[in-house]
Amino acid sequence: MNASKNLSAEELRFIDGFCKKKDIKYVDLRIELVDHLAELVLARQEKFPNENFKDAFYAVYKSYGIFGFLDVAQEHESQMQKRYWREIWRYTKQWLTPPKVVLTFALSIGLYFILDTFEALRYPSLILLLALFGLSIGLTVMQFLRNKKILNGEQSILMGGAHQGFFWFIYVFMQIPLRLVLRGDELNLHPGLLTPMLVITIIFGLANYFLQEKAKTQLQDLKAQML
Amino acid sequence: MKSKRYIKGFLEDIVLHLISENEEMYGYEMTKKVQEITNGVITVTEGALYPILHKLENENKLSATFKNESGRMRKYYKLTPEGGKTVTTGSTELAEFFAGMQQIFNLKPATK
Repeated sequence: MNASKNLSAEELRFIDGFCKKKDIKYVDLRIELVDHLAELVLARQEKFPNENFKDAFYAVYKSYGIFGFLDVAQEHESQMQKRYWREIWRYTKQWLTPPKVVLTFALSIGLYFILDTFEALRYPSLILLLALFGLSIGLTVMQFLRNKKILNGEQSILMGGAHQGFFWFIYVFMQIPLRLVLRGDELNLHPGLLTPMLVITIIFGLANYFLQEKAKTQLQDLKAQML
Repeated sequence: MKSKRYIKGFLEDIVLHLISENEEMYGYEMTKKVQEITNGVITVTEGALYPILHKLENENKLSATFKNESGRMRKYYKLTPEGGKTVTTGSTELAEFFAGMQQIFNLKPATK
């Protein structure tokens, strides 16, 4: 598979830059496409030895049709979203082991009874819920910015999925407590609503944290390989 | 031959089977291998291959590692234990399916 031959570093950088311009923004996907295109260019140069690199490259790219990499990029985008939710579910499942489930359930019941008995604590617990949301958003943004620095601004698929999925969750899920705060309606501050919301927010926040940490490890491994 | 029409439903099985026979593989290698084995009758395009690879990776049937090969980064895919199980059950199902197809169409081997 053209094992002995390779394109020059400059030619590889050209393909990488070309893919970037074609909206392949995630470094891990681009690595795959650059490798694939490089192999196709080498195969073409073997067939047409007098063709220079750029002519060979554009001939290869032309074979992708008028939509170019659009198919790959779009498919990838939808896979990324699914991946995010699968990863979140995977972390959540790790949490769902017997002792942790019992502990979570016991704490949830305890929280429910506290909120049921002391009505005065319901509004502060709503504020706590919003604070947890805020903390989770802040932490995610910090992790995202830190991860971006690892490969000089490059983003990985995991990071992309994480920030899109996370903010979608926040946008949808936050509507309930925000509306409750704005209405200030004590009747709606039922412990049966507040308790699961607090528990889900904590579990989701933790799962999201671990996912960003996984993205960090992935980028660090990539960096080590690139050196 | 217009294999594109038929290949979509089998691509996942093809990919898993190829990797199970080669320990680890990268994208371009898979497209070449399919072409080589089938004498060009079946071609796998990048547009079809990479989404399937990423889907299988997401489903934890494949794991991926990046390697630097003389200055060029490459992503290799390997079967996970879960992917191994899919290959085993998939092979049996495919054999049954093709036996059924054989009975419907009374297929004869293609001659050149």
